[in-house]
Amino acid sequence: MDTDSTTLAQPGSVAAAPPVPMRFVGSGGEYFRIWIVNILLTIVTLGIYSAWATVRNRRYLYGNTDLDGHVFDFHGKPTTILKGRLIALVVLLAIYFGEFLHIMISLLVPLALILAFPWILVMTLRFRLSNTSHRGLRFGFDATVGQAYRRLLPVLLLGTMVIAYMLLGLDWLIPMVVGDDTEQQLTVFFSGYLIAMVVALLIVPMFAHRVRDLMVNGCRYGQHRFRADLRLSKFWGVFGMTLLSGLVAGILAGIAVTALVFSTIDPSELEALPADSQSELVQSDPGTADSGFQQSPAPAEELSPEHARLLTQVFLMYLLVIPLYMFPFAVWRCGVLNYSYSATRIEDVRPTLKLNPWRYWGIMVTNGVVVLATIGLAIPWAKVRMMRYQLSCMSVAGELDQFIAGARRYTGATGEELGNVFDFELGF
Amino acid sequence: MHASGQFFSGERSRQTPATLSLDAGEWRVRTEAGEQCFAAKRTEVSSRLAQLPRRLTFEDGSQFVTLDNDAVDHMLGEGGARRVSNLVVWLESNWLWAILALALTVGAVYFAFTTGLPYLARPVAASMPQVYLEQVDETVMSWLDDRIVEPTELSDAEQSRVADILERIEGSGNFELRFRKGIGANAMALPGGTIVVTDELVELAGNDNEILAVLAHEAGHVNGHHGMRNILQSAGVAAIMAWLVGDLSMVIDVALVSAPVTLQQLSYTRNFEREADAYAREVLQTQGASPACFAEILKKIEASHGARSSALPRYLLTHPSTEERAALSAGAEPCS
Repeated sequence: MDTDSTTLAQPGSVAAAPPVPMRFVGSGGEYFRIWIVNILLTIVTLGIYSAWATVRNRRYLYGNTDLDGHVFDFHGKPTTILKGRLIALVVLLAIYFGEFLHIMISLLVPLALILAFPWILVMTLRFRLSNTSHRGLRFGFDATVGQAYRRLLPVLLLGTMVIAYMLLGLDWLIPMVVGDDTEQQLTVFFSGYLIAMVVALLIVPMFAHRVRDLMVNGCRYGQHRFRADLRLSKFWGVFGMTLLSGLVAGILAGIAVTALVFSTIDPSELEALPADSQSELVQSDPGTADSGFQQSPAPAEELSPEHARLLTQVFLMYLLVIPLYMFPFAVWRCGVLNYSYSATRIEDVRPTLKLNPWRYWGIMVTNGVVVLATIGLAIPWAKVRMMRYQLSCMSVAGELDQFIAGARRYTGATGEELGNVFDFELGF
Repeated sequence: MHASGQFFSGERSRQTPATLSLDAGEWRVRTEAGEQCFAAKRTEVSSRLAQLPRRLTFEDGSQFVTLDNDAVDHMLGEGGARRVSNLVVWLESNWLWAILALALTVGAVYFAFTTGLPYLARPVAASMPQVYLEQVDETVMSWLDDRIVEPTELSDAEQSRVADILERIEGSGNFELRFRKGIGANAMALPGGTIVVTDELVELAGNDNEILAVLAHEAGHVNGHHGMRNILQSAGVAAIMAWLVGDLSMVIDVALVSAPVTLQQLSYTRNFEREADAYAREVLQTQGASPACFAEILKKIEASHGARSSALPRYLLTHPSTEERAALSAGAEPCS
């Protein structure tokens, strides 16, 4: 959406070759076979083969990404990935069992993960890029962990404070400030909560701008640095569109839910609901640790028609509401990626990305439905479909055979595996 | 035998058309500019994958890339450096194998969840250090005290009456009895042996045997290490799912991993409840009480929480249905 200025400038400045489109040349069926055979081999080897499986999966996806008649190549060593994966597993286990030791640990872990983000970001990009090649030349990532912290830490600390307030404010901070009056405590806490939410929203575009800036300007191909002069105002523009589409999605979701609820549920059933959810809280929240004596709501042996209808409605609500809320996400994602890619230069080579938020959203939603309906078996198909679309929106202009090799650096995979474990969405 | 492809110097992104052949332990790359030789021993040949171009990386960093996978395999065979990785290629290229792999994968995961993990979790849970388990109990108790329950208002006499009943159960030295109030008639067992009983439950029980039934059920959880087994098994489910399909960067990733974890965990807890129920009936019998006491108190608790039926299907519940649980002591003498 924010690509107009950069794409308009193109024809004049590069006189030579027209832009070359990128393509995905693999097939979903072929990828499915590779995927499932490698999962089975992972099971047979009690998990060890998973690193080799990852390499084969990635090699297939990279190796079918075609730019100007040449495909990309992934060179990661399975043993490096296995090592990183084992370390990530140990960290995860320590966190999982540590969380039961003290109530504070479960609150501190998310904060610690937020503070680890710059390190994970840099390590992931270093591993990914230094193991990627095109036309026999390697990519690389030169930004250091120190640089990442200098750029990102102030924003991260602000974010951490906001989240800490949301999690701990009512228990620790507010009683100290306000005293014992419960009603006053709640009032102060919720006004603070509103401010915290606004602050959280405001730092999103700032944070995204700094992360993208770090990501793009740290990359290199051969010895040639990627350069992009990313402007914060563009991120604000994308963010504004995101908020607007979020608002529209929210209103639509509200209308849909209201229509569903009032079309069929009679009021007596609504009254019964809060009581049910209350007893659920007692049952399930101490969660894994307790074994309650009695399940409060008595289960029905057979579903009565009303219950079946209620279930259908809940299901329909999810089917409607979740896709609606994915739309602002698609707007944000497409806006940020389109701008960051299209603003990038590698010498006089210039990529252009034109993702359409509507199409992106459509693929995201249908992929999600199909993958869930097939309990995950459609993952390869969904991945290939999304990749094919994304690549079809990307083109590259300029002379691609002018580049010279640069220094090679090697790095471990621990950072990337940790990032995978905690589901950091880096989005290349 | 030779393969045609492209040669990259490794110094520049410009390619040159070239042909490749293997001769006397040396790869020979012929371009317009002439011929170069590289020792086969110090050359890295990428393993075959679908129809992807094959890449040979020589010791000076230069590369030869070709689409002629068969020719490269043939030359490798001739040169005596046959690769075993071709087995994987063969498996991957065949739909029959893919479908077989699919069936085996689903079967193996199902077996691991229903049988493998419970089997492994039992001895591990039994050998967990008691210090850790007690700390877990402390954490849960402080969480409950902060947000859910209130201090007990039972008199000392009532408390020691319940404590005396607990004494009658085997292994009572491992239990730590606590009284709390405010969540209705309920009782729970924590992994480290803490048994929480609510004031409302003590008041609801018609006689000592009904209290014995409840305590025996909770003792069944403690003696069977159900709390820790549940934690371990659920962690195992999550770990397996993440390990197998973890390399995803999609929104649905979360749903895909957490849904089976939750469903499986619920099935585990229902089984633990059944085990604890069986233990309770056994204790009642050895103590000369009727197993019907357990059914009796169950029904009372259910009634005390308000008679309403849940809209949830059975597989979404943490406990088996009261009807199912009570039916197991049907035909026993009435509780007195």
